[in-house]
Amino acid sequence: MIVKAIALALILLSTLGFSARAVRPFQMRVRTLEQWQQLVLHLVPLIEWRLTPLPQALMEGARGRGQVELGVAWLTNELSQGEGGFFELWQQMLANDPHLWADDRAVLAELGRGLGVSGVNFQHDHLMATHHELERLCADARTQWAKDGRMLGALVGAAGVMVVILML
Amino acid sequence: MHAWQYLPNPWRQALLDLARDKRCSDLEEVRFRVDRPVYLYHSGWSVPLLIDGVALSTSAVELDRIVGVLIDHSLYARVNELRQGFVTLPGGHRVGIVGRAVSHHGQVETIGRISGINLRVARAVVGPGEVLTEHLTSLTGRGSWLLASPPRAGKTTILRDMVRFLGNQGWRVVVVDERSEIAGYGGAGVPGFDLGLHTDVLDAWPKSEGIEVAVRTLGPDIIAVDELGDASDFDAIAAARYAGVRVLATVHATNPDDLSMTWHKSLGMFDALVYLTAHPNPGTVSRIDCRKERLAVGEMRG
Repeated sequence: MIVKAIALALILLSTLGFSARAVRPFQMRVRTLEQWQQLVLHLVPLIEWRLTPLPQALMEGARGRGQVELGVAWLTNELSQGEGGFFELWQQMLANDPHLWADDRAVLAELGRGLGVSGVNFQHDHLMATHHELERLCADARTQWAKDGRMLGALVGAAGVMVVILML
Repeated sequence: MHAWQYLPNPWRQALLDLARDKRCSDLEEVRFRVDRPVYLYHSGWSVPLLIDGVALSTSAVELDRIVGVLIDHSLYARVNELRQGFVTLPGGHRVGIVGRAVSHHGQVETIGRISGINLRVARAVVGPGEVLTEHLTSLTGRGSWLLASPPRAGKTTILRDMVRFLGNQGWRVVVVDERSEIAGYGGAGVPGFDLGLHTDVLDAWPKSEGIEVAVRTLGPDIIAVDELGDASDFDAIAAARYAGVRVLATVHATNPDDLSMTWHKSLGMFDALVYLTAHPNPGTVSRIDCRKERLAVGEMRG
């Protein structure tokens, strides 16, 4: 009886864990996109008013922004070695971020393609255009989290509960 | 930091390795051209840069990468310099960029299709400026002097050494360093070169505005400016002269005819015109015209 109770408890716990894990990609995508959105907004004054060199501006803008900060730290470190081109390294940084989806990477790759390669006015337009794109992606990601993410979580939870019921 | 340190590899390492070769330790320029070998230029010769024994040519993508690294991937911060076709690296090294200008409302916004880069090394030379300053002082007293020469004849280097000498003599010198070449800014407002104890640098100020600000706010004995280019520069110098400030300046010109053809009316502001030549070595003085002599010649002609 005790063994059965322990097994049930373990199944319930793992169900909770799996359910959370099923939801996590949706949740992390939203969080990462929000962090990118904040970074892009932060870059506007750094680039437009202060003319901060791009690696420093990125570091400053990404500070305290979780996975984005890690990626930017890697990128600026690689840039300081002077080995690769900015855009290639930028794409590698995006590819290394597990929380981004293909659509997100495409939008952020375009951001990287235009960063630092023009005068201030075009940088402003480029950052604002990316900000709007990220806003759209964020809205999509939140909807997907609310619909698919929670449904997937509920399904996994339901499957766990079913196993418990069968065991009882 | 040496100019080569700002380049990406493999060029950086190849040039640093070369620097150990005494013959190549005082190179003047390195030129990259699209689909051509990289060339090293000395005052008397040029050779291709060999990487692992091969004279590799540079692709357009590589040129883009080199420019990206040199400007710290921040064209927006250097666009004002690029509008003049070059950027200055910390240490005063000048990078000329050859490419297609992309303009918007008549202003260059970026340079695309980069087809060449010319990295000119800035060097501090100690000594000749002092000799020239003392000689000019014996000729003209505490006057204003204009150094004239074609490009790569050592104008900026001699001017820098004169500023250092005068700055150490106790004169309050203000350098209006529009292109950051005289002081070779070293970042965080610190000059890269030693310009003397009593020297202030107005870094990246346009010449005419910088001269005005220097006269109004910094109380200089001497103002130093490099490469006078248009009438507004000469007007600003005239204003400084009226205010009783001595001026050390440089201008592009090969001989007195060149100079008087363009700036005839403005040359009277200078007590001595010094012509420099690159032969046998950059910074060689080929001729000095003092105002007294010019006036005397004028009177004789009159």
